[in-house]
Formats: sequence, structure tokens, C-alpha cells
Amino acid sequence: MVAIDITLWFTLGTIGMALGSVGLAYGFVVLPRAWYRTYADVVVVTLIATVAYGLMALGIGEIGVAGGETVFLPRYVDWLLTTPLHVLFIAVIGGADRRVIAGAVGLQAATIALGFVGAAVATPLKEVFFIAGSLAFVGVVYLLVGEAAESADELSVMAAGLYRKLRNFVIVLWLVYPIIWLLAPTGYGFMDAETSSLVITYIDVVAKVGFGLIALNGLRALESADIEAISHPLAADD
Amino acid sequence: MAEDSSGLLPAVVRGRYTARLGVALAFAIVIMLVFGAVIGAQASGELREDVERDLTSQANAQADHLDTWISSVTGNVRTASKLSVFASDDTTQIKPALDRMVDRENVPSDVVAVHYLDTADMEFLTSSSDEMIGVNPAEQGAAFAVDPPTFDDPEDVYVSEPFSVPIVDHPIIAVISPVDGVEDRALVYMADLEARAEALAGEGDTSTVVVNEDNNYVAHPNASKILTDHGTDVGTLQAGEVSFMRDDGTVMGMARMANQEWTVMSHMPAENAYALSKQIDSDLLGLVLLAIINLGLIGVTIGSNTALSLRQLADRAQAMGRGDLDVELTSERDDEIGSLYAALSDMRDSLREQISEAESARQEAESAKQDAETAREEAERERAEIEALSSHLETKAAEYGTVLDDVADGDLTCRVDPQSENDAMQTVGEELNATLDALEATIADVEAFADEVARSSDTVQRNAEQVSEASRQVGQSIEEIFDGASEQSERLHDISSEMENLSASAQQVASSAQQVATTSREAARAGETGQKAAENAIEEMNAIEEETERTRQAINELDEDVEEIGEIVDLITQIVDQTNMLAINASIEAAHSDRGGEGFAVVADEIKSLAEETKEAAGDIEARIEAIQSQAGETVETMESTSERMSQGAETVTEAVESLETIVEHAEEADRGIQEIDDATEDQAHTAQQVMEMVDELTAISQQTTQEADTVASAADEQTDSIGEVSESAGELRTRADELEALLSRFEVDRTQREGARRNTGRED
Repeated sequence: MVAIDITLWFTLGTIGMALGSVGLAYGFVVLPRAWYRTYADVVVVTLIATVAYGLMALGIGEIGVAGGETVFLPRYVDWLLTTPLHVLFIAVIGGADRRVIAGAVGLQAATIALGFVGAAVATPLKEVFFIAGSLAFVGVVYLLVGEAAESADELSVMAAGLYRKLRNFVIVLWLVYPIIWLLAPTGYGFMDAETSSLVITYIDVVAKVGFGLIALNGLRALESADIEAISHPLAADD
Repeated sequence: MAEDSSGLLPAVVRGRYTARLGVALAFAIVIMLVFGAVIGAQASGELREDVERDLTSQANAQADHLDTWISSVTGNVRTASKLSVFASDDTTQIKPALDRMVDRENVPSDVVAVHYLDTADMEFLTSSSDEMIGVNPAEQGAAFAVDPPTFDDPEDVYVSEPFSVPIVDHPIIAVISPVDGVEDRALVYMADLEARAEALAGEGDTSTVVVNEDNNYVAHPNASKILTDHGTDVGTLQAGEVSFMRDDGTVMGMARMANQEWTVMSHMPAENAYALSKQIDSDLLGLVLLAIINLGLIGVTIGSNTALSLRQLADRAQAMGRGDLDVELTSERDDEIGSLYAALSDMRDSLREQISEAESARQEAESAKQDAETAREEAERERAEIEALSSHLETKAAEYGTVLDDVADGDLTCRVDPQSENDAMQTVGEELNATLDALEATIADVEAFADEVARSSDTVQRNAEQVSEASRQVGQSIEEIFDGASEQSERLHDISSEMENLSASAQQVASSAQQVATTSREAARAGETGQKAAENAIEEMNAIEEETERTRQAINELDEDVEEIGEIVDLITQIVDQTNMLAINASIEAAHSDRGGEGFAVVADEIKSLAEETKEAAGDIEARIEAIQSQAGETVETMESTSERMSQGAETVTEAVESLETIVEHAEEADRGIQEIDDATEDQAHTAQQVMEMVDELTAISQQTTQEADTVASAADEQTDSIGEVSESAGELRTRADELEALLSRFEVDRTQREGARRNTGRED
């Protein structure tokens, strides 16, 4: 009998992420070579998450913090790497300029970093960092919805559609994270560590694999519509 | 739900599908939050009641337990104090009794010592615990000793308040009862409160404490707390009552004991008591969050996709509305929206087609209009020309009319002037002249022809009469042919029936021949069998002959043997004669010698008689041999005659075999002959059949001939009639030709032409 506890959720998360990575790797078969560099972004995201969940399932990287709670370091490292990658992908699909891309990626990284500090310290500093992190995320949303949308209007209808789809997906799902953060032991502890881990694991898998699937589908549609590959060097901004 | 009341929604929401979807999803989330809160509250309430019930019932149970224990202790003390050993007041007897009680556990649990107390001097005279002997409890500060109870009755039992003394390392309660029958003596039970408190301690997170009427702990899991102040006022409970309270993170159930003014309390940390409630709240929150995530997913994927597709479609439709029919109308979707795209694309294509059709129709109409204009001008010009022409034609026609009137009057020599400015009118004039020429010539021809006809009609009439005569003759001949053919047909019928008879008898012959052939084949087979049998007989006879020859030889050999036996018999006869002689000589000699010669004469007589007998026997043998020899001679003769006959028989049989062979050959020849007859008969039958068929055909032909003859006869009759008619017609024709000639005489024609016409007619004839 498998014990229903936090390790089970992390194990399931690892399996989900690994399966997602394999499924998304199929994209390299169907997409033309020109899209590889762009598409590699989403596969790298699920691979990083697989490693992070694997570490958490093995109980590595748990650190005790001020309030006596446990913070999972691999989770924050995962988010610190993967969420900026998602932002980068959306901005590139939207045809944003380098300034906007750099701003959005930086703010997203700051959001995660501030959230981590907020989880580690006690009230009232906790609230201060939470608000700072939230503001950084508002900045990301502003850049993606406001600035990048302008450049997206100049794109083909399909590319613009894909951009909007991914942007809305990320914004809606990521708005749930701060709510979980507040309800979980990292915030005010209305949810216990097990339940919040279950919720976070689910939303993580859905957000990362779902993002990859939408991206793959969209890129295939662009390919069939014979739209030129977006040639921004993704690696340069990492 | 939100969509249903769309009329009530603000315009901002009504105008956008995503906003509507967002409102609907938000509504669903709110509903879920409210229900989550309600479920959480219900579960918490239920749980609180459970906790309260559990703790109070636990406290009540512990109070009952404690009551029971105290009752058992007091009862035990009272009973023990009445024992006679304690009335003796002899410590040497009492000490062992006390030791036994404690050692043998005759006292209730947790009673650790029993003392024998002098209540006047307040001294333990003796005790189960050695160290307590001689101790003054009052000096130690024991409550019961400082303020001693008074006993009115030996039945009285006093339970002291808990207390602590330096000499004992745990809190104590003392239970005292006066000893019956001795003054100032009492029995004291000392119970270990700490041990009792441990026994009371609850399981898990629950701890049980006991508080007395002064609000001091009587029992507590932490022994150091015993006899200290409880801190919280437990309130006033009546005996047996229970209550519940919460204080400083601790929840407690309380129960008042029945016998003592003590309150038993079950303590539990509130955090632990309500952990399940917290867990449920946490899980509900998780559930709501998962639902929110999923609703968000639906909204973002399905909702957002649909909204995007519809917005794009709306843009395209608007572009088409502005007249841009080249907008891109493809979607990667296969659902209703994909169909919508396809439908719109079809509509656009059909619109485009209709517009181009309308354009080409307009161009066609314009060119048609130009054509009509040109045609109208053409028509006007032609009308003027036609008017001029028609006046000229009228003049010309009048001219032609005059000429034709003359012609009608019989003057076929008149001609028109064909000269005209109109080609057609000129042609008409020329043609008219040509016609008049031809008419003149024709009339001349007809006149000549009428003459001819009149002449020819006479000839025809004559000829027709001759033909009529001939026809009648033909008719008679055909009658004769008809009669002949009928007769022929009847004869052929007779022949046919005779041929049928012939065919039937030929078939009979054939079957008889078949029977004879079978019989002859059987005769041949019988002959062959006879031949084989005869050959076998010959072989048998030859064998018998050989056998007879061999027998004859054997008999001859036997004859020779018999002759040899005869010779031997002769020899025996000679020997006998000689023996006989010897015997005679011997008897003579015997007669010569007197002494002893008698015996010898007897032997000689005996030999003599033996020789006589032997001679007789040899004579017998000889006679028999002769008989055998004569019989063998006869037998040989008989056998020789038999052998001769056998030879003759074999010859006869050989002749029979030869005759049989001849018979077989003849039978086979007969068979072959019959086969030939059979084949010939069949041929004959076949031929008869063919002849019959031919006769039938002939009959048919002769019947046909009869019919034909009949037909020809009637045709000849008809011909005769027709010729009569021809003759009459020829007569009539002659009359008509005469009439025609009379009619034609009114036309005036050029005679030269008339001659030419006659020549023409003659040539054509």
C-alpha cells in the first residue's frame, strides 16, 4: 500500500513531468529543424521540473525556516529557471523587442526570488516580500499584455493567436500560485504541507506540460500555414 | 447561469464572450468557495460536539472509577477494623497481621501501608511499614492527625484530604476506621495518590486530573502538581454532573464524583482535539484550488481559443463586408468553429462567383444592344430599296399578265419581254418564255401522242383477244396437270405405306437373325466343350491301354514264376520218391535184424508215410499250378482283346473330335453369315427409311404441285378475265384519244414545232 503523503505527490509529479517531457520530445519529430531552438525551450522546462520533483521525492533540499515550516529548495530553483523560460518563449512568439524580453524575464525571476525569501522569513517581513513579488509579477503581466501585444499585432493572425493563447494560459494559471502561497504553510497555513504540495504539483504539471502542448500545437499550425520560423536566438537571453 | 440572465449583465460583460465565460467560471468558483466553507463549518461543528462528548464521557467514566476505588478502600478498612486481632491491642500479634494484609494484597490496589494508630497519643503503635512504627503523624503534619476526626460509631470511616509528609516520597490519602472493642485505637490505610493518578491517566493526548473542593489537584499525571492550585475555577457541579470547558489552548471535560467532593477532569490540547477539523479545512481548500485551476484551464484553453477564433472570424467577416473577398479563411480547428470557417469560405467563394457572373452578364447585354442598333439601320436602308423595286416589279408583272392572258386564250406563240432592272424579274420573264416554249412543244407532242394512242389502242385490242384465247387453252392444260398431280400424290401415299411394311419386316428379319446368331454361338460353344471332353476320353483310354499292357506283362512274369514253382515241385516229388525208397530199404533191414529192429522198422514206416503224404501234397500243388497257368493264359487273352477294343474306341473318339471341330468351324461360319445378314438387314431397314422420307417429300411436292396447278388455273382464269378487261380498256382508250385530238385542235401551235415534237415522241418510243 502506498502511503498517501507528500512523497507520493512528489513522485507523481516526477512521473507526470517525465511523461510530459517524453511527449513533448515527440515535437522534434514533427517540427522542422528551423523551429528546434525555439521549441527546445518548452522541453527544457519540463526536464528541469522532472529533476526538481525527483529531488523532492527523494527528500533532498528541504530546509527549515523561521516559522518552523519546511521550504522545498528544488521547487524554488525549478520555478526560478522555468518561469522565466516560459515568459521568454511567449515574448519571442509575440515578436517582442529585446528590451521587453529582458524586462519580462528579469521581473519573472525576481517574482520567484522574492517569493522564496517571503516563504523563508516570518511576519511581517513575509508580507513585505509577498507584496514585492506580486508587484514584480504585475510588471511581467503588464509587459506581456501591454508591450508585447503591440508587436504581436504586426504578426500573422496565427502567430498572434498562439501568442495570446499562451499568454492567457500563463497569466490565468500563475494567478493561482500566489493564492496557494498564501494559504499554504509558506503563508498563513490554512492548508497543510501535504495538501498544498498536491495542489502545487498538479498546477505545475498542468502549467508546464499544458504550455508545451499548446506551444507544439501552435507551432505545427504555423508550420502548416507556412509561416517562417521565428529566428530569435533564445539562448542569448538566458 | 450567468448567460441566462445576460440581459441583467453590464454591457462590458455582454459584449465579450471571454468576459461572459469569465463571469460564469467566477460564479462557479464562488459557489464552490461558499459550499466549501459550509462543508468545513459543518464538519468543524460536528467535530467539536464529538470532542466535547468524548471528553465529558471520559471524565465521567474516570469519576465512576475513582468512586468505586474509594468505596472499596473504605469498605475494606471498616471490615478489617472489626477483626479480633486488632482488639487484642498486642503489637506482637498485630504486626504480623498487618504485614500479611499488605504482602498478600488483601487491601485494595494502591494502598501501600496499613498502620495501627493510638488516637490518644497520635502514634503508630505498629505498621506494615517498619519505618513508620513509632512515628507521630501529627509531627509529620498529616492532616488527619493535626485535626483528628471523631468517631461516634465503630462503623465510621474517615477519608482524609490528600497530604504530603516528609517521611513519604509521594502524596497520600489516609482512610481511618476505629478498632472495635479497644479504646483509642484506629486502623489507618495509606494510599499512594501518585500511583492512583497514574492509573487514572488517559490514553494518548488525553490526561486525567482530579481537583478537590478547594480547587487543588488531588491527582495529576505530573505528580509535582498534586496538592497545588488548579488555577481555573471549575465552578460548582452537583454530584454526578458533567460539564465541558475550554481554557488556554486546552479543552476539558469534567465530572463531579458521587462520594467525594472531587471533580475529575479529562484534559486535551485544543490543537490535537481539533486536528481533524483543520485537516478537513485544508483538504477542502486544496479541493477548491484544484477546481479553480481546472476551471481556469478550461477558460484559458477552450474559452480563450473559441474567443480568439470567433474574434478572428468576426474580423474576416467584417473585411468581407467591406468588399475584401480575398481574406484568408482557414482554420486548423475541426469543430463547429472550423465548420463555420469552412461555411464562411464557401459563402465567400459563391459570392465571388456570383459577382463575376453578374459582371459578364452586364458586358453581354451591352454588346447585344450595339448589335441591335446596327441591325435597325440596315433594315431601314433595305426598306427604301425594296419600295423602289416593288414599283418596278408591279409594272413588269402587269406586262407579264397581258401576255399570259393571250396564252390563256389559246395563242401559245405569244412571248414576254424579259428585260428588267431586277434580276429576279428578268429571270421570271426568261423562265416564263421558256415555259411557254415548253408548253407549246408539249401541246404539239400531246397532239402527236393522241394519234399514236389511237393507233396503238387498235393493235392492243386485237392482241388482247388473241391472248384471251391462249389463256383459255392454258387453263385447260393446267386442269389436266392438276388431275395428274393428284393421282401421283395418291400413288406416292401407297408406296409410302408399302415401304413402311418393308421396313418393319426388315427389322423383324434383323431381330430373328440376331436370335439365330446367338443360338449358333451357343452351338459352337457346346461343340468346343464336346471336343475337349472327347480329347480327355482319348487320353483316359490311352492311359488304360498302357495300364492293361503293364498288367499283361505282369501276368506273363507270374506264369514264368509258376513254371519255376512246378519245377521245384517236381524236384520235391523226386526227393520224396527217393525217401520212400530209403524207407523201404530201412524196413527191410529192420526185418533182417531181430533185436531192436522193431523200433527202427517203426521209424521207417513213419518216414514212408511222411513221404507218401509229401508226394500227395506235391501232386496237389502241381494240379493247382496248372489251374493257375490255364487261368492266367485266359486272362492274358481277355486283356489282349480288351486292349484291341480300347485302341478301336480311341480311334472312334478321335474321329468324333474331328467331327466336333468341323461342327465348331461350321457354327462360327454360320455366325459370321448371320452377322452379315444382320448388317445387310439393318442397311435395308435404313435404306427403306430413307426411301420413305423421300416418298414423303415427293408426296409433299406433288401436293404442292396440285395446289400450284390449282392456283395457276385460277390465275389463268383471272388472266382471261383481265385480258377481256384490257380489250375493253383499249377500246375505251381509243375513244378517249379521239376526244383528246378534238380538244387539242383549238390550240394554235407552230406546225414545225409540232413535227419536231412528233419526232421526239417517236424517238422516245
